[in-house]
Amino acid sequence: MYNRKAQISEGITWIVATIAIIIILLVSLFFTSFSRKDKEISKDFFSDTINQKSFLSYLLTKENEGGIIYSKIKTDEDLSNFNGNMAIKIFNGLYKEKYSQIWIGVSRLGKGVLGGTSLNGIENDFFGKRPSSIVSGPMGSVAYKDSYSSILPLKKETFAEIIFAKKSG
Amino acid sequence: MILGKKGAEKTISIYWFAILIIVAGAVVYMVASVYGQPYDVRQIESDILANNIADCISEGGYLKEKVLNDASFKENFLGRCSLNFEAADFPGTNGEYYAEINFYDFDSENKINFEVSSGNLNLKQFCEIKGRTNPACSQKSFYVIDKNQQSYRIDVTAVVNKADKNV
Repeated sequence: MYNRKAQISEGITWIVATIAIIIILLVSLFFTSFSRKDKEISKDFFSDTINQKSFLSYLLTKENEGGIIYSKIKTDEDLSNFNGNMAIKIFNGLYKEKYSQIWIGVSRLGKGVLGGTSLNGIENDFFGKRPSSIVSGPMGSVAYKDSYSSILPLKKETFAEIIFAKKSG
Repeated sequence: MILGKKGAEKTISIYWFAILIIVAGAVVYMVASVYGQPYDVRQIESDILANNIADCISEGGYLKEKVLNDASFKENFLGRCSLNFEAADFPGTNGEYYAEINFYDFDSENKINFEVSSGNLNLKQFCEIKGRTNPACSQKSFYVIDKNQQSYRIDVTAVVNKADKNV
């Protein structure tokens, strides 16, 4: 009687151990299946440095009055009628389909969160408000927007900036 | 009693052997699933190729001299851009790369009759077709001016095949 009870107890131990081993294996297989997806390297692994070429050439383009766009933006600290429309023609024309939002304008270095510094864009008539780098998610969560920017210094703490916000998915 | 103990030990041995096979099988499957499939880096390679071509024809915001309408650039495009389209790992193919540059007048949007291309032209048709085994294609455009303030749109197409070692 006691011998049978001991055998049953020992058998149950082995069954539990088997189930534990199988669960550990299944969990491992489950996480391994995710690593297979990671082997697909994202197309957006590198930022589009080619767009920065367009931005630099845009800033070097001469305005009707003679000076280059960079100098005009530096003086005005804003986009003018000529260079604003020119920016729309170049950047919306070339990249609008690829990005969810493009913003070009003047940004000033200001106070950011937790005592740090951040760029605060000046709203302009052509591209509106500078898009926030943080987007709100579900359940009150926040996340960094998948975007990148290029800046070129104009004056102390003032920059010409272009932002490309990537399309989600 | 002694025979019963021996029988139990035999059963446990078979059990352990079965567990060993299951664990070894799972480990082999996991290792094979992680390392058995190659990384497909062709899209990145074609992006880098397109970027390098863009760097080759424009510098500091200006279109480089002796590029547009220069016959020697057209003839020796690969050499001038320090590109090598030979793929030693893919013998017997017609080439694993294709690159093309098209120039447009930015204001009129008219195509300038100066097209530069090199490599396996047959790969270009796959830019319109999506598929895991198809060649990776990068089509990029940028705005550039020359020293005389003439503005252009430049379209760069770079295609990389190399499907055998990436898919």
